[in-house]
Amino acid sequence: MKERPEQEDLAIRDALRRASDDADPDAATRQRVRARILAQAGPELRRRRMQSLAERLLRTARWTIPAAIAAALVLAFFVARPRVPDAGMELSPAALFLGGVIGIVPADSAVDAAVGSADGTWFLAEVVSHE
Amino acid sequence: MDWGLGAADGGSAPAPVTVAEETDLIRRILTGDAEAFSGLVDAYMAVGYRTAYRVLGHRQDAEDVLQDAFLQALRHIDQFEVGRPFLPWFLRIVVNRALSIRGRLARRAADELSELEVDPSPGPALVTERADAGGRVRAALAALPERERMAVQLVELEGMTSAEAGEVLELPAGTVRWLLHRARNELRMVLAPTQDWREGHYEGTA
Repeated sequence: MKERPEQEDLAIRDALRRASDDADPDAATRQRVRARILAQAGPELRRRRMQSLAERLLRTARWTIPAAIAAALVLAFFVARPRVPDAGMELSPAALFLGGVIGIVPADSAVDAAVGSADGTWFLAEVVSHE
Repeated sequence: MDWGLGAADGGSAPAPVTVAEETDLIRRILTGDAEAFSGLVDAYMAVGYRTAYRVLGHRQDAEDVLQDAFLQALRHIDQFEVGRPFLPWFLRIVVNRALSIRGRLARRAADELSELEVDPSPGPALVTERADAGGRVRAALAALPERERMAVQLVELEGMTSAEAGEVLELPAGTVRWLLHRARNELRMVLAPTQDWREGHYEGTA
């Protein structure tokens, strides 16, 4: 009886599989090839790790840098905010002068800081009152 | 699909890799994860080796091709569309690399043979002259045109679908089916005169 083509195809497929089953690598080949591949892949994997780290840092920097700048500005505002000196508070001549310039220290104290207490009265009388 | 995946230690084969597991491995490889790459090598080394060996017919060359293919895949892994099956993409690299090397070897062999004035083609006559049945089947397969042989190897031997084989061979699935049809006809014609290649022939059950 003549075989149907589909059955013959299956028989040929089986024959092909049987004839080709020697194509598998043996255990020693697998280990050797695997070790070679992994050793040679090392530099590329390291490059990818570095690239990935750099990308992560860049992504983080996108929000951390503006946040840090904002925080620094806020901090600077609170730390450097001009404060009216308390009565009787000892201030350095420079602080007194700057305070006078921005108007939080009386003018005579600022002038005293700039030219010395002895000449302060003279300075106010002669120079400032002329104008 | 299980492609008869190989094991790193040569012992039991690892479990088949699903597309989801593959996707996870590839995402980790993109960030340089050596363990994930090693997992991918373990999963596809055997099928890659078999494919290279069937194209080249030489074990050392198959090892070299496999190694090159994995390294090439790693270098170009960014071009791989994550979420798609990895194997057809990988085997395309293997096949292209193997064909390129085989072409180079064939040119070198042809140059050497032309000096000796010997005909290198096996031809159907040699196929029927082969002493053992397995050798005859292998010779019949080897005598097929390149693309038909590749289609047979990927579909019949590796169990791929026509679409997957088409992705490897960069051909439409319909063309792969047509190549298979032609290949089967040719194999039937070449193998028909003898029946000893059939399973159980020697037990008298064929």
